Amino acid sequence: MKVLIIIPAFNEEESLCNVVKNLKSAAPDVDYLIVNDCSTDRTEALCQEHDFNYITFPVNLGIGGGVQAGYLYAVENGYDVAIQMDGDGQHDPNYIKDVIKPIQDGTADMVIGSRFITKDGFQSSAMRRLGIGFLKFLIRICCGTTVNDTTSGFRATSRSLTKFFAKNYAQDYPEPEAIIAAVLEGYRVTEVPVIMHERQGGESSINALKSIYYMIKVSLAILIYRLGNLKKKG
Amino acid sequence: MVITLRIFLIVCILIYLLIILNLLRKKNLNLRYTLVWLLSGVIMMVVCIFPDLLFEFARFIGVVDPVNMVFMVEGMFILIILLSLTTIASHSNDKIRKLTQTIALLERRIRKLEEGQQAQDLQEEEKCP
Repeated sequence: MKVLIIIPAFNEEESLCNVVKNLKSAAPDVDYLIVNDCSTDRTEALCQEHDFNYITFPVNLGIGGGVQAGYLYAVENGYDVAIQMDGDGQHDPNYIKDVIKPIQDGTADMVIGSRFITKDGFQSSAMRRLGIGFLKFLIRICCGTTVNDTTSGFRATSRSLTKFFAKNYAQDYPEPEAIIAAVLEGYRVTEVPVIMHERQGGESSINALKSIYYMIKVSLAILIYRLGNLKKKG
Repeated sequence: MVITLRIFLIVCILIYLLIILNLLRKKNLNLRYTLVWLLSGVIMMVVCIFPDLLFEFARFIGVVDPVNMVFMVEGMFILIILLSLTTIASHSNDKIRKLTQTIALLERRIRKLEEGQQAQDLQEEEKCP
């Protein structure tokens, strides 16, 4: 199994080195690709200094465009599994083998690392959990699949789903939309429990003011995706 | 509609069409995105020359002052043109994203090639000084 870890990074100079170091010690046999989304800090310089495997955008595309570039790279280089892992240290590379396993066994095409199954580790704020719960409800009524951690950015995709995402992927706030897209396209989505940490550095891409915009945009995106695929199962 | 208003509107639309044609001639406008502008001008022109067409329709849907119908049609054209602009912006956005991703992937390959080339050059220098 050729496994690629995609690490989208926007202004992650504080945490990126640790993330890569932890990744190399926890999973030495997987490849990784850092996607520097036109950071304004020293993210790119750090990648150069440490000779990381990275690509860098000349303009800022947002998380969706960054992850999609990772999927394109995975398709180009024939990886069997592509795993998205955030560059801020929230995701523990020790769980990589857990998120790969269902794909290895051939029982799933998308595996989402969920912090709400065992309810251990960093659980996020009550407001965020409420929003995540609402998206879970929305996705369940739209396509009948239950995903607890709808916004988790720790997820693995099989070769065929990676190919699909390399062509079609939402540009901003893509995580919940990607779930419904995968389900409606007939891919199998499953969750495995993981423990997440609080971010080591940098700032979340979603602040208090943006969260209302986030909820409206993501909910609409899910509903519109459902409307655009009325004939598909769900 | 008063005859002076009609003449005034016809002159305005003529100027509007001339500006568009001039911009097209100087290649400041792409014809693909300008058709909706031209179409709006032509329809307005027809309405000004044969106002009864529009006024019959105005009476039919219950617009009290027929001149308001002219403004309403104008407003609708503006909405359609704005919508078409948003479509164009969305398409351009998709293309820019794809280009950015391709450039980034190619840049990495060039970087790797150059690194390999440099290593090769060094080796050759060591072999035959």
